[in-house]
Amino acid sequence: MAILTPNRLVPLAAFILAWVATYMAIQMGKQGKIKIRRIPGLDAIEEIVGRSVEMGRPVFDIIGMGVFTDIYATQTIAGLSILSYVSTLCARLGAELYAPQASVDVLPVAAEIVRESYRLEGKEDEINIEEQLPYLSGTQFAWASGIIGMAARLRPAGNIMIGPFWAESMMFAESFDRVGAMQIGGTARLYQIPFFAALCDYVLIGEEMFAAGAYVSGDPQQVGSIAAQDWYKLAALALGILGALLATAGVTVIGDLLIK
Amino acid sequence: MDYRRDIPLAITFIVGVIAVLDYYTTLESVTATFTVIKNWGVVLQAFALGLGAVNLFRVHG
Repeated sequence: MAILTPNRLVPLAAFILAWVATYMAIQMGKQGKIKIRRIPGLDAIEEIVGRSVEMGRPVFDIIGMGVFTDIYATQTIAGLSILSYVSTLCARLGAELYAPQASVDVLPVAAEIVRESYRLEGKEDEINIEEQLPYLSGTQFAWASGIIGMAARLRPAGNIMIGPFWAESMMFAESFDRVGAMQIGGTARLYQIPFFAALCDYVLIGEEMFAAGAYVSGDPQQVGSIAAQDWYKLAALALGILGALLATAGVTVIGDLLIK
Repeated sequence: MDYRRDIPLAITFIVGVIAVLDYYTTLESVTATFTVIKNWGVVLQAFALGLGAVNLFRVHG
């Protein structure tokens, strides 16, 4: 009797290889052998917060209306890691942060992240969570209207939008542009990237936002994990190209191997 | 050693390893163990739901 489940041999081998690759990449990250290339959009966050302090106007960090339970959850988590970085900078430099929320399950996590950032900087009394992280609405255009209203009233100096965005992306980018805010937009939703590219000063395209947490923290474990993910993608790409070429020549060895 | 962090981490790791073994192998003992774990999961979820409801009323009541 075979111990291994039929048709799961290759997935098991891939799983073990991925495990080993991730471990190796983390070790290399700890030794400083892996670096993430410079991402201007992320470097500009500090500039936005500094600008806000100089102008005496607030900073907005909008993480989108994603939740933790759908296919856009990874984008929401990337947005939260940026929120952690932005709130730390705001606490340190003395900028006023606003991060309006649209999801009831993300709100408490975002609130705790911001509270923790201010606590670590010893400025817990400088943040009012209920006022600065208000829950506006879970309905798309009610939420969008709320943010547009806040932008018009508060006239922020900067706006950072990193997370999953839908049709509201253009409304936000346009509204904040009109009040003279410097903007960074980032999303992995391809349809919305052109809107951000048209109006934002910096744009994070697709996967750049997923590297953001590792980039801003410099944590070798996160940097190593990002590198390992790139290795898997390169391996999958090479296998795909090789398989397509061989299949075109009538050799189905790669296809046969993958179903084992 | 931080028991409040390490014990849940150890339980999660062990259950994770059993789940992976259940997916990739046909060992009867692993399948039976994982079935017990899944049943426990259902029971814990039911209690968590009740605890969540009580907590909701305590926080907002």
